[in-house]
Amino acid sequence: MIDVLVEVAKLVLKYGPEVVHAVLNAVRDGKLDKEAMMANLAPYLTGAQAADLEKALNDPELDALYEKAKDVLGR
Amino acid sequence: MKRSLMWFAVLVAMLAASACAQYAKVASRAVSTIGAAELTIARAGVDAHKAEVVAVIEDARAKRAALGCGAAGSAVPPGCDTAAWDEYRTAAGEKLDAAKKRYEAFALALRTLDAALTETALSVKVYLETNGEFDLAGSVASLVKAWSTAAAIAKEYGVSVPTVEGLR
Repeated sequence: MIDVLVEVAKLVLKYGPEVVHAVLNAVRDGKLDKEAMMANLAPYLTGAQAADLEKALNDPELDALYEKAKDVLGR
Repeated sequence: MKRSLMWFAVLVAMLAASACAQYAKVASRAVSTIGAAELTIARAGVDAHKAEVVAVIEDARAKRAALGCGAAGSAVPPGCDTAAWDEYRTAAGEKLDAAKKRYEAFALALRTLDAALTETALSVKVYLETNGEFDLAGSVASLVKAWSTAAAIAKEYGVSVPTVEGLR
């Protein structure tokens, strides 16, 4: 059994990169639900998520409240 | 024997590729899940901070009236306890500044998290579309670190933050 594993290890070392590369290409070509994955990632890749975050964080009502607070405190 | 070993090697390689694909799926799902939570937390944090500022305004108005100092923007009436009002408004101003600083730290933590998510998304894209490498462990570590920082500040606002442990 150990001999077999050693042989397998040798073969993987011998054929590894090429075989893995070929299989990875096959995965990239369709075995993976690439479209769904890219749809998940699209907001980040297009910057839409960052824009949404900035919109949420820079609430204009907050600036108005800061001004009101300054006014009341006489700052 | 040699032929069967070669097929076994192919199988091992396929399993390795399948694991890579699974990693990419996990990362993609993590980015999507954390991203949705990120916006929810951002909005909850903004609302909590707005409530803090509103509380400062209302308290100041009440105090100003109680000290006989009139309304904001109007002339100070003769009976106003200006010393007490100055003391109060200095303390209230410091409280407001501290709240604003905490909010800015919260916003920065969320922007850092967003940058980590974008980086992960790019890594997955490179993995899928080119022959690039995919450092899943590095991406997940960055996400967990950024998430933990944002979550710690969000908790100060009383915002419930889901765990990302299950996405590892």
